[in-house]
Amino acid sequence: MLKPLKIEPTHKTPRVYLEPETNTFELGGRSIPEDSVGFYKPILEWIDAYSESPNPKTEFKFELEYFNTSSSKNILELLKKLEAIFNKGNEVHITWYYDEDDEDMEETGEDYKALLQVPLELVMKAHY
Amino acid sequence: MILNNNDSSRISGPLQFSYPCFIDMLSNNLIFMYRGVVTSDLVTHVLQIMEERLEEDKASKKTSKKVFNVMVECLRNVYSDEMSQEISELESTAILLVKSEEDGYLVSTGNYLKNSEVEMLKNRLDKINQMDGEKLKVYYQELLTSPIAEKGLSSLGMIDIARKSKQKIAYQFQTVNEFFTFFTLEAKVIRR
Repeated sequence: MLKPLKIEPTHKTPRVYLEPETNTFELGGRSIPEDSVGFYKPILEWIDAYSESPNPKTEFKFELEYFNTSSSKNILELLKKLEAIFNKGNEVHITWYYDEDDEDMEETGEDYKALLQVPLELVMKAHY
Repeated sequence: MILNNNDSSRISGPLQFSYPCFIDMLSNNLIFMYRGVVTSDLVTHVLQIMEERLEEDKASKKTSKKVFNVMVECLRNVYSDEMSQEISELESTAILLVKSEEDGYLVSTGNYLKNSEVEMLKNRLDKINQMDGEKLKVYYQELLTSPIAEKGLSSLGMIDIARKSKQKIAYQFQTVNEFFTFFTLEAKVIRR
């Protein structure tokens, strides 16, 4: 089985938890790395390897706080890879969380939704 | 007693510099000011400081989020790429100002450019400023899906500023000499 990929968050980069065994697929926090291509490369490679034999159902959570435009291209690439898994007949569900105060993150989620065929659900996180 | 700017010439010693600068910042409601090289590490620190400054300034969470999002892109614009050898020291230094106004926050950046870069940048900004929200959205999605190119990325950042601030991007080019132009960009985030 594919080894899980765990990247702890920093002030510039998001947390990435990818663990097929527990069905955990998460990316969250801030994404403003200096070299976004370099940061996302191992993640995209991991998804490539995962797509060889994915779980029957993949539930991927995005919980981003803010990210720069160079990260946005890499995030699209990641979403496209998930779409490819979906197109091969596997169940894939993406949840895009945004803070109730963050209409920009909601809008970004809508942008991605418009560009993809894979099920992407926008979910607002309310403050309690 | 507060001295006005004109009196500052009579002050000597350390006050001569710090006091007029302080009064200037105070009277203009500048809540943040930085001049120097903008690196990725700096962006992280600026955001941390701004988090506190916006809180002190009683900005709502909604407003703060927007200011953050706009700042990230404005800073990206004056970001100096450490890998690039072609950029001179002068070009790598920039200014960042954040001004608290009654109806919102003004994020402003300034940096030197080669004169030859002005026209393309001006065209890009004019093109974006002519678009309404819907057109900006279409253009953003188009560039997002186009093959990665540094130029496209820079446009993407500008569209992002326009979309998130929901305002036209104000800009100015000031020719410095036969080689350089000083470029100022201003994005306003309306308080909400």
